[in-house]
Amino acid sequence: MLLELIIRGITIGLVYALMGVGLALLNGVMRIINFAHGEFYMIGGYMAYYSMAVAGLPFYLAVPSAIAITFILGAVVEKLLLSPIHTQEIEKPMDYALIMTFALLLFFRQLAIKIFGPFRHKPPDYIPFDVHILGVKITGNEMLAGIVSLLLVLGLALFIKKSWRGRGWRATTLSRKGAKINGVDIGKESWISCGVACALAGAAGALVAPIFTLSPTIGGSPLVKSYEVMAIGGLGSIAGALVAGLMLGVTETLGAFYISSAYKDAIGFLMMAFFLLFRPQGLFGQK
Amino acid sequence: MKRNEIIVAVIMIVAGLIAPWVLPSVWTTIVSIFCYYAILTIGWNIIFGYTGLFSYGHVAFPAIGGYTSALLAEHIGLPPLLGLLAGGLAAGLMGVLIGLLILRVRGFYLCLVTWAFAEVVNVVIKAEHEITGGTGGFLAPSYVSGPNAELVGYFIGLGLMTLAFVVSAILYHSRWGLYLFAVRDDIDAAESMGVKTRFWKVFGFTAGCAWAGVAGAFYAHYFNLVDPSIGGLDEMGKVCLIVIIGGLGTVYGPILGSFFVVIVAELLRGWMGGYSLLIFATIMILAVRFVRGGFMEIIQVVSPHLKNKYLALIGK
Repeated sequence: MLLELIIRGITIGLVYALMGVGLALLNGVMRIINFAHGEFYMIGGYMAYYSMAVAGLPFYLAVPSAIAITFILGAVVEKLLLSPIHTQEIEKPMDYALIMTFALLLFFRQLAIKIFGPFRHKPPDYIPFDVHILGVKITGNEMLAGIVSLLLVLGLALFIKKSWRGRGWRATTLSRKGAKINGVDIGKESWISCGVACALAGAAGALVAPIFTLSPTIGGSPLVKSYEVMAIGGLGSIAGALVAGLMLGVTETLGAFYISSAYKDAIGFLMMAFFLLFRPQGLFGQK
Repeated sequence: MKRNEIIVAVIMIVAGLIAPWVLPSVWTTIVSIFCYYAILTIGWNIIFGYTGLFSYGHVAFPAIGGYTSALLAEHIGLPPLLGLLAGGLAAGLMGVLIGLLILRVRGFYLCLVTWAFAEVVNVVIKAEHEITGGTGGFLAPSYVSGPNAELVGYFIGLGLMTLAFVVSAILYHSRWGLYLFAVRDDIDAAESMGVKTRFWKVFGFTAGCAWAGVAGAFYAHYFNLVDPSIGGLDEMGKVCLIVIIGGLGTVYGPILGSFFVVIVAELLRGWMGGYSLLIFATIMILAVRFVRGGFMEIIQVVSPHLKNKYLALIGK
């Protein structure tokens, strides 16, 4: 039983990590936080559903198309609504971004209710058979979600570590002015990184769509989880986000089983509040 | 208080007193909802607009106030009018505790801590269903029994809203208000000028939370029911929407915003259908992007022109 809970916890934890990494990236490059992150998760899920159920694509094309659509949406949002942060001088960019992304959350949620309807949808199973790991049975969907999430997180880490653009992002994270002087185009990197962050959320939504059913208000819970992951792992730290996601997933699954399932969501919040108040730099951060 | 604010307060009272005899009875309920949101958002305006603390857990405090008042009425028979006070005190006390806690954090960490607090309050209310009634809610007695209960509740709401407006207007023009603005605008400069920033942060936060608690208690006794949905994320969205649309950090902002979001939405219900929240979210996005001061900024820009036109019209 314990092993089964831990494996389930790790699977869901990898998805949490995928959500958290997107936020961490956005926080690093643009210095803002995105309240609409969960809505991109929701949109990603719906896009995967529509490309499978309506357009008839197989899942290995549906998930990438969901990722592509959320990337474009994220980039457009940055271009239209968030770009004043680095083009105009706004007195308090953080407050501006908080309010703006919160307005976006309301907007996307209401729009989704109008467009997708209030009913629950569920795309067909991506992998329709069960898998046995160490004698524990998990569904193919869960395994796929876990593995792809892990690959995406590692891929992003590698991209940021090795590629030229990733170096630009790291430079922007360290010092915006310094990066600008050395030829990093802040405006361009901002919309690309915002798109990537939103695409990661969309990927998470598309991957877990067959596990949890889709409804316009599903964005709330993953939003909360991604904040917990980011706060526990430390702002802007990808390794931290990965470890924190796993930690959160396992603790929650164990807590729900052994303590009380009603308090499942409170566990993550208490962990987050504890870290924010007593170790604000997170697990691996330095201050 | 300035002259205009006194005029607005008097207009609100007079209009409110006349309304139940002129308008159909459904409007007393709608105006009461308006009063609830106005009190609640005046509280948030003090926290975010005056003091600059982005509290994302504001809706936890009406839940605390409402449940405190309802539980006290149920178990020790506290009259609802004292329950308003008890709800405000309970929320204010919680506000002091959270306010002291969040002194350690700045910027959006503050937002996350308060949000975590609100969610924990919500989870506790839902989980402890033997005490709070869970998601089904908890019954609260009306202000008076009998056929006039709704009308009495309406007048109490009107009185509370006017009181909240007057208090926030006095605070705005007072020395205390200046301390709060100093904390909001530049905390380091305020500190160096000898402002006790830690005290004023907690003060601003507590004042806002206490008003939220009063609003919650009012809501509970008016609708005879308090349920966890008044502490939900959607409600926080509405609070944020109201203050931003109305005008952040202004005296009239919350009243104006509540007027649009509650009363105008009701008037246009047939025309807007179920799209009112979508339309308001769009207005909020546009307001934040282009007119950061909300409707108050528009009024402030337009009113001198109107005044000139008026003066020209009467021949001066």
